[in-house]
Amino acid sequence: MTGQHRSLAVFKLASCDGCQLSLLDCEDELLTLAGEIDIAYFLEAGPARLEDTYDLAIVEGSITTQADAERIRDIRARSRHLVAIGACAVGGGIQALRNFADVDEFVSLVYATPEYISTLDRSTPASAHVHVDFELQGCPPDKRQLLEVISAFLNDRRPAISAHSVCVECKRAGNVCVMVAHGTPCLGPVTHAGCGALCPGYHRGCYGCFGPAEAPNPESLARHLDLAEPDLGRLRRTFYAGTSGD
Amino acid sequence: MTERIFVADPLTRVEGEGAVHVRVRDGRVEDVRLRIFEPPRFFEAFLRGRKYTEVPDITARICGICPVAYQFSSIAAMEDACGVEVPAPVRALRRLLYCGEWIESHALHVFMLHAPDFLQDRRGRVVRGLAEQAVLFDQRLVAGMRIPCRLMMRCGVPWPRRQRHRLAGNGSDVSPGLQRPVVRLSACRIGQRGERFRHGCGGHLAVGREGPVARLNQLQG
Repeated sequence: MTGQHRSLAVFKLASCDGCQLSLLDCEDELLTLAGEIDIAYFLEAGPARLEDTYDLAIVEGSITTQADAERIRDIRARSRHLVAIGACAVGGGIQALRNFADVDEFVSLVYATPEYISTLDRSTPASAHVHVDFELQGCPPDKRQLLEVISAFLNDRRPAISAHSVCVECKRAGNVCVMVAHGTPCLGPVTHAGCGALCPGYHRGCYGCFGPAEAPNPESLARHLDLAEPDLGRLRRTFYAGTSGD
Repeated sequence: MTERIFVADPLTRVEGEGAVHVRVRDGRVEDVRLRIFEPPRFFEAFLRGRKYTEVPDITARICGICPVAYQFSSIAAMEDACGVEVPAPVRALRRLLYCGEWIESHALHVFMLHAPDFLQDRRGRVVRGLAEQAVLFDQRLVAGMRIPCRLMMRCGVPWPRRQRHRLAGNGSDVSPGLQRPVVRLSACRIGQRGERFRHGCGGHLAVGREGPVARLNQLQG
């Protein structure tokens, strides 16, 4: 850290608050972090100082309303660096499943008085609206990776976040491959690392909550798992559906 | 005649986005408005057509603070729909996991979100209190509560299918994946910390002698 207190703002759009919670979950490191930076805006934790400029803005959640589309532009204008965290801000989130459906039907199905509901027909990531300096994947992101990203931007360097797959983490942890040894379907080969291979570590197949790894080959994996539509389609459309081209 | 307006916009330290507006006239509350501008996400709609095995992982994303509650709600709904009754040990395991979330959420709420506000003008009194009851409000205590909670959360991840049937048997038959967190729980001496925790918080948290922590210890045998 530079010693000079830089300001941090944490914003939430359409999401579950889980990504912001990853920051509070930093526990001991949070004390160090709070000593090094000025947490100016973080509604979940309390601070609500809306300022003209923040050194680093962290955004959780996807853009699903006209108000949020304007808000993300406002956040961008106030921030030296803008980092999107979590499946919603990076890939539209689980709520991007509306992108493949009739949102008016969704509204009338869920709400007794649909006229009170204002929403866009698509859920989109922050990068669809403004320039984003870095995207940290995960649903929710890993707190160690989050600390690395914050630390990197406050020190004007690039975050050291590997883009490899969960398989690498499994091998590092010495896990027996659930797919090879038990025949359990696992999305680890195509999923971004960061979770520490949590599910395979407990003999469960990865279900892809960290989103796609760099250069994934889902077609090959589907052949290996003998997956066909509609199962394959559902697997590809869960947490990061807002980024898919189809 | 005096009129006072109280506005909290936006509300902080809660999951979701909202604001509250209260008008008081002559000491009497005349108008209260709660505005929720949390965007809708439509879980009820897009869950249609999903495979039942995918549902708990999806409903867990309704709330990042209490995902276990939503996982269990969806599981209970599906079991109800299918007429499934789970064995008692599985129910106990679920209860354990839920208590883990409960303890974690309370610790977060008290230590991270609200206590700093309530105590910020009473620093002197807090410091004196800390001197008298040395371990209270110690950050390590919070960490001590959260580490076992994390382990319990991990407990909820399904264990190998081939070992599931053993759960119906006695305690020594549980899978290695289940044993490990319980053993480590014991190492954390959660019972002692739970006692101090309860004492320090005026008994608001049910983690004392009769609470879930005590039951945890019983489970450990």
